[in-house]
Amino acid sequence: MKKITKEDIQQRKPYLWEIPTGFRPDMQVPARIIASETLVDDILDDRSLQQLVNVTTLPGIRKAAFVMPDVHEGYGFPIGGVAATSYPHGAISPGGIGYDINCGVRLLASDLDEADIRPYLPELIGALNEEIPSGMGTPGHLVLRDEELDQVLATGSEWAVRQGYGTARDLVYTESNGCLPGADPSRVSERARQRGRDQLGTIGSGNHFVEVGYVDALLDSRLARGFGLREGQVTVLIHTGSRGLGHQIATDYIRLLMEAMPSYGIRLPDRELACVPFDSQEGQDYFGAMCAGANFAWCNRQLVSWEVRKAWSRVFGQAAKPPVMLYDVAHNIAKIETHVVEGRPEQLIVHRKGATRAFGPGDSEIPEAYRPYGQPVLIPGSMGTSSYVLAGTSASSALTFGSCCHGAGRRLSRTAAKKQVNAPVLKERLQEAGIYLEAPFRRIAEEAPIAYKDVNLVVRSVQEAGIVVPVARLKPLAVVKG
Amino acid sequence: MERMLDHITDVAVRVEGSTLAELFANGLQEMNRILSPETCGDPRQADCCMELELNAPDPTALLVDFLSECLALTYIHKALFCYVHFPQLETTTVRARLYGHWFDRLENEIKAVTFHEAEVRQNREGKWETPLLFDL
Repeated sequence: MKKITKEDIQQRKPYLWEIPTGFRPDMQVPARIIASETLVDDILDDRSLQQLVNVTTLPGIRKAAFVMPDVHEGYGFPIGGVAATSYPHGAISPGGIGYDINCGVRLLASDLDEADIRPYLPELIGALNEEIPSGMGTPGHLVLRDEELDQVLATGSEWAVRQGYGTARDLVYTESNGCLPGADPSRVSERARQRGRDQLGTIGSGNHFVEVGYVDALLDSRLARGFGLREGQVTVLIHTGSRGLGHQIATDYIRLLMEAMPSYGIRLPDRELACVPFDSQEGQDYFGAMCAGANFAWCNRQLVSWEVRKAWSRVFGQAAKPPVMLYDVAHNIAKIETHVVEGRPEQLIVHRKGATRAFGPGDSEIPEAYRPYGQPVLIPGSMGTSSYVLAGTSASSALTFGSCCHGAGRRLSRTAAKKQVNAPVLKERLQEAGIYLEAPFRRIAEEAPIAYKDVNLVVRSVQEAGIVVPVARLKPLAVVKG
Repeated sequence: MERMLDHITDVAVRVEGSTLAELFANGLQEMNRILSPETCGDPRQADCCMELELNAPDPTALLVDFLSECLALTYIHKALFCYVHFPQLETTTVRARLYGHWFDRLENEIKAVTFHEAEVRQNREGKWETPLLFDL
C-alpha cells in the first residue's frame, strides 16, 4: 500500500486537510482530516490515512471520508473515522462500527463539590470497585433468561429502568433515548447471547473505566448552565460498551458479509471493510443485530450507573442525592440520519467508529432542555488528565455529518507504553496529585497518559474546525479500571 | 514460533508452524498468552474437553474462524483451551478437540480475532505463517 506523506495532503482550511480523489484510482470521494498541523504530523506516523483512503472506496459513499484529530490506526477503518453512504442502497460495513458496538461514554453529575468529596475518596473508590464488576472473567450481578435478554436487545435502557435500575430522566438524556428501534433480537446469534447473558453492568478491561472527577473550569458559562454544570461540581464518567455480545455480533457478521460481498460485485482493498448494500437481506440482518447490540450497550451503561449510585449511597448515606444523568453518547455505531450533501438534505447511513455524534442547537434528537445549546459531546482524556464536555454546533452537520472526536487517541502501543512506564511510581505520583486509582499495574502502564495524544490539542482542533464549542473541563479524582 | 508486530491499539503477532496443525496450535497458544499467560497447567489434568468442527472457504478464514470459536468458548465456559488435538485438519476443514483449564479472571480481554492483514501461506522454507491481529 502506498505510503502517504505530507505532500499528498492539501490544506483546505487551518484545521481541515484533504487527500484528493486523484491520489488513488479507486477513491470515490476525497479523504478529509480534521486536525491541527502538529497532529497531522503525528497521524502520518501510523497507517491511519492509508486506512482512511481505503474507506473512500466503499460503495455509495457520499461527500468524503473523515478522520478526527484523535485518529489512530485500527483495522479496516481507522479508529476516529466517519463515513456516510447513501440510504438505502449504499453500503453498511460492520468494520465501520467496530467490534465493540455502541462503545460509548456517559456523564453523571452530582450535587456535591470537590471539597466535600476529597476526604471520602479512598472509601468511594473501594465501594465503586466492589459494586462494579471489572476486568475479564468477572460476571455481572444479573444472569438473564432468554426472554429477558430479548427485551434488553429490543428496548435497551428502557428495560433497565422498568426493572428499577434507573429513572425516566436517564432515558431522556441518553442518545436515541437508549434504544434503537431497528433492533431485531432474532438476528443475534446464540453464541452472542451466551457471551452477553451475564455481562450487564460490567465495564470489562482495556481502556474502559469509571472515573469520578470534578468541573475544573467552565469554558462557556451559558452552555455549562444549560447542561446543569457548575465549577467544582463532582461528576462521574462511565466508558464501556456492548461487551462480549457486541463483539460476537461483529465477528459473526464480518464473516457473513465477507462471503456475501462477491454476489453484490463488491471488491475492497481490506477484508475488515466487508460490506453489503444496506437494503440487502444480509445488510438488514446486520443492521437489526447491530441495533440490538447497541441497545445492550446502553442497558449495560445504565446498569453501571445503578452500581455507581449504590456505591454513592454506601459512602454518602441513603439521604444523599445520587448523581443524575447529564448525557450518554455512542462512539461506535451506524445510524440513519439526514445531512446536507451538495446543497440538499439527504438520508444517509452514517458510520462512526471512534467518533461521537455532535448535533447542533435546535435538532429534535437533542433532549428539549439542551436543545437551545447543542448536543453534549463527551471527550474522556487519558487516565490522570483532563476530560471535556463540548456542545455540537449548527455547522457540524454540513462539515462532518454531525460528528466529532471521541477521546484523546492513542499514540503509543501497549507494549511501548509498558516499556516506558513504571506503573507503581505512576500510581504513587497520581495519588500525590490527589488522583486515586484502582487498576492492575499492567493496565496502569498500558493506559498511562504518555500513551495518549494531548487531549487539549485534540479538543482545540475540533473547536477551531467549527464542529463543537467547549463547555467545561473535568479533572479526575478517582479512577476504576478493569 | 511467534513474533510481535507493531500496532498502536491492538496486539499483532506473526504466527508460524512447520505444519498447518502447528500453525493453528501456535495461533491458539498466542491467543491464550494474551488472555492469561499463567492459566495453562499440566495437560494431563485438563478440567474440560470440547470438540468443534468448522468449514471455511480458505485456510486464512479457517484459522480466523477456529480462533474466534475458541475465543467464544473460552468466554462462555470460563475455560482457557490450552491444548488442542486435530483429528482432521485440511485447508478448508477443521475438527478439533480442545482441552481446557477453568479460570476465575483473565489478564486481558480480546474482543475479536480480526482478518486484518491475515494471510495463511507457506514461506520459502516451507513453513506455514500468517500475521494475526487481536482486537483488544
